[in-house]
Amino acid sequence: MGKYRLDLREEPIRDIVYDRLKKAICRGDMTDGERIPEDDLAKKFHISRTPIREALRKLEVEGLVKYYPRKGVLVKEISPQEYMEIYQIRLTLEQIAVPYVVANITDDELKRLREIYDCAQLYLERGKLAEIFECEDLFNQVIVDACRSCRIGPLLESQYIYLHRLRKMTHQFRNRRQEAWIQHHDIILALEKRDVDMVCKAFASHTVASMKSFEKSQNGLKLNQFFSLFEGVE
Amino acid sequence: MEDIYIQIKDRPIREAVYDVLRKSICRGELADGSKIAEEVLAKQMNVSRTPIREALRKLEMEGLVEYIPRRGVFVRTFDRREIIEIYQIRMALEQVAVYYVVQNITDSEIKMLEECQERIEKARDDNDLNALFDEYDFFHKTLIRSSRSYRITSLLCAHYDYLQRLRTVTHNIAGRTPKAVNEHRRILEALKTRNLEMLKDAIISHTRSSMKTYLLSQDGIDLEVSMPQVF
Repeated sequence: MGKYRLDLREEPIRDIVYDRLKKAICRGDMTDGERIPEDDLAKKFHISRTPIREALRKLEVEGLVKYYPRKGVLVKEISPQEYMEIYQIRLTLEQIAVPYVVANITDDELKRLREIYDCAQLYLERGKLAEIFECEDLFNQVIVDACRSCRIGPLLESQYIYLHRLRKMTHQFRNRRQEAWIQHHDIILALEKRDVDMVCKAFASHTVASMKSFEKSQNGLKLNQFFSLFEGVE
Repeated sequence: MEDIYIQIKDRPIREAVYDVLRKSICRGELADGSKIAEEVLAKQMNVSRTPIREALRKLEMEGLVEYIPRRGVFVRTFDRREIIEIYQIRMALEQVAVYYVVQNITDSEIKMLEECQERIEKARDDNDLNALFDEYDFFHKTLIRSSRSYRITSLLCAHYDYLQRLRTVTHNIAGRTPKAVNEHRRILEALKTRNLEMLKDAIISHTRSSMKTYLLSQDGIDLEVSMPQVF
């Protein structure tokens, strides 16, 4: 069964390429519709094109890139409608994640959320956007980990990936960041009380508010009535 | 597995191999915990081992198979906790999907579902479980596709597939088959009215009832799984 060992040895290169590309796409370093140059990447990483193709295939499965005949691999564009769906999926996944988080989050993790919140406050005062976003990522990561679940946590995490590209569209609204952190604080308070209903409401208000700020960034996009499902949440 | 070669002839091999393997696992034809022998599969399907490995890697990402060092690849067993999570994800996604379904489903799709429901009821009368399961599958996937939402459809269909293996268990429980058939009928009637609340209720209670039956089959106790208020 030596073949599996061989397999494992090959894995890192493919995974490194995959991780870097994914980060670049999700952070918005590569924009929608940009071509991914296989040849240049192979030269840059000093590797063959096979692991690059494998990484791209994995990204294609995840819906982050798309193959176009004669054009090559492009960063997949996400339409405003698709972003709305991502928000909606996230909204409902958070609701089923909450009972797991409330049951499993440790005091250390709660303390960590407080620390992240305090950092974010400092960055907010100084207007350091990139650092604020990093705090938001750390916050989400604590939540995803605290689920201690095999399926819900990872699926939620895969929805948070799209946040980076979304932020590029909504970050011009300064008030939104202030508001977002007030909502993060509500989430922490509710978690400290370990009150499932309260945490559910806090998550929903946060996500609904980011959906609304996304709608504002898309002049003319009419938000659908999906919110009616979450009436009384705001 | 003799017909596999015919199935995969004209398609990208890697994807075809993946589809065939995934189907066999989800339907329980490859039993939980059974070993998947790359070499044997390669010979059976008349392909090289590369596409088999690629397909297995993708299945591993989905949690359907697991690599055990020095022992090989095995069909992964879902434990109770994981199954409850899958049911909960299914309900969450259905909640989003119905919203689009009531807006976008066409009359001809409703007609297709109506005909499907007739086949479901016939399979129930004939006591033909295989036909019944095929029709369930068609029913759910046609319904969800009518949402016209690619993201929700692909996520939700994947989760329907993960739960397929349980059917052989839940449908052994007395009374489950007629009950499930009636639940599909109720979904269909709700669809015809295009009423969001009715449809949501019909679909979510179907999933909930399926989950309860599964839990009953596991420990004989009707465990109420805590679900947040929004559902």
